Amino acid sequence: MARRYVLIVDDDPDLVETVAMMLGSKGYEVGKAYDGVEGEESIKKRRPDLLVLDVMMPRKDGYKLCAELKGNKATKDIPIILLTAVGDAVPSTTYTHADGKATEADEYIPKPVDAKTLVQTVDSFFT
Amino acid sequence: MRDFAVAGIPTCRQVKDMTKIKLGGLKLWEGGAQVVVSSVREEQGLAANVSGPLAAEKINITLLSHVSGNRWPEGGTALCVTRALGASCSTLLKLSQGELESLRLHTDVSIISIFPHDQRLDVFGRLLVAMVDDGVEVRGLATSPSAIAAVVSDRTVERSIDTIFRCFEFPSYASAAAWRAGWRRPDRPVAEIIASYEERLIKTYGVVEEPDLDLWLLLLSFPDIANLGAALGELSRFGLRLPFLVALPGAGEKLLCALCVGTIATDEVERILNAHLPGRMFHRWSPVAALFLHGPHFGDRHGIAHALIQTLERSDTEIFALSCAVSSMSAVISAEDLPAATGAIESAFSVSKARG
Repeated sequence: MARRYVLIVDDDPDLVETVAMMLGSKGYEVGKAYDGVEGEESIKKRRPDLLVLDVMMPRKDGYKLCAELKGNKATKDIPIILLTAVGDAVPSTTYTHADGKATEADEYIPKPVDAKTLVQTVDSFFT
Repeated sequence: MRDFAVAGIPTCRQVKDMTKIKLGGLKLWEGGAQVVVSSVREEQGLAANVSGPLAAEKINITLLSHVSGNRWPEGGTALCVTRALGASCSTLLKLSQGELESLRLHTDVSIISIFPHDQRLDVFGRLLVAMVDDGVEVRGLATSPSAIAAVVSDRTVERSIDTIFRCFEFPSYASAAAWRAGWRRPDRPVAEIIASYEERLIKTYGVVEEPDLDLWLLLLSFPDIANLGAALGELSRFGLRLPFLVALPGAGEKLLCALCVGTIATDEVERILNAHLPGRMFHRWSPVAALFLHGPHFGDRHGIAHALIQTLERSDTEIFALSCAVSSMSAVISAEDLPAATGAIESAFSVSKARG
């Protein structure tokens, strides 16, 4: 059986490498992109089985990319996990954000991400 | 443009015609200040003298590099903060240090990060040679598990970007001009976040231990940086990896540099450093181990470096060198302190451990 292909899009290279390492060790094939535009280009070249998407990125943010993918017939079925810096552990941020839920992402994980939670969440889409 | 002839590594002009090394991306952080403390009063600890006062005032550090002077005549700490915080940061450290002459403030710095380096010596080597070759004054270097962050003066930022694009290629940008068009467009979405995380236990994405390393300490003049680059380029032929490197302003106009290579290659490293840096002062400490805390959001939150430094000091772990850059923190410690240090980190942070 072919390995599931997960694309990680985040402008934090340390997070990308770490998540790639974690998912790679669980048998996933992992692609990497470092901003929204690069992520979009990567998806055009190869459709991922799942997308792990950061919100705040240069050139195109995660909310915008998520909304575009969910609004496109060809990509709307790609499961998207949004990593957001808005959660219980983050009472304040300088980032002004729209309501992330309007983007229709399939799952939301607040940063700082719990590694185990992220892997379990990815797994849950394929079991 | 200078064109240093360095044996074993191409000059910048030659690089133009060579195959560029493929990397993933680059980031630019502008509007910074660098505070350099040349001789940290280490008898009281780095936490008490440097990281503690900044954490208490909720000052977020964007980059921190440290080389201990306890076992080596040269030591120091350099940190970058936003320009607006440079003066306050400097004042706080003056108060804690009590030695005004040991502290320098530069209010014109930017940080360029390239990634992923994959611990490839040829990536480090080519970057160092090319920056010197192009006359880019390197004011500091720090590594994260994935990135190399170079501190440069504002006036050399554009030249640095051109240099990087001459040596490396990036899938998302065909040229330096294309990168500038994307990065500097007026409607660029806000990508910076300063969040105040309030976790009971600070989360990290993982802690990786890397034992069996030599720590090499060098004091380098500006042209010597290219020679170090040449040495790293030559060492890359042995299939070695470079998991850790920091450089910060040292005495005079020199750069104090600390790097780790596996103990398996002690003889080769010594021979090649001697060949490329004859008569220069360098020192080896061995065996050491490196601890990498992946992505605890260093750079996005205040107090995180202090949490690590305090944790290590409380476990009686001597920090030989420290590199906090991008979102991660890396510490070089004595190999014999590794179990205690790891235990202390696992108690103070929420971690999942993996062996390097």
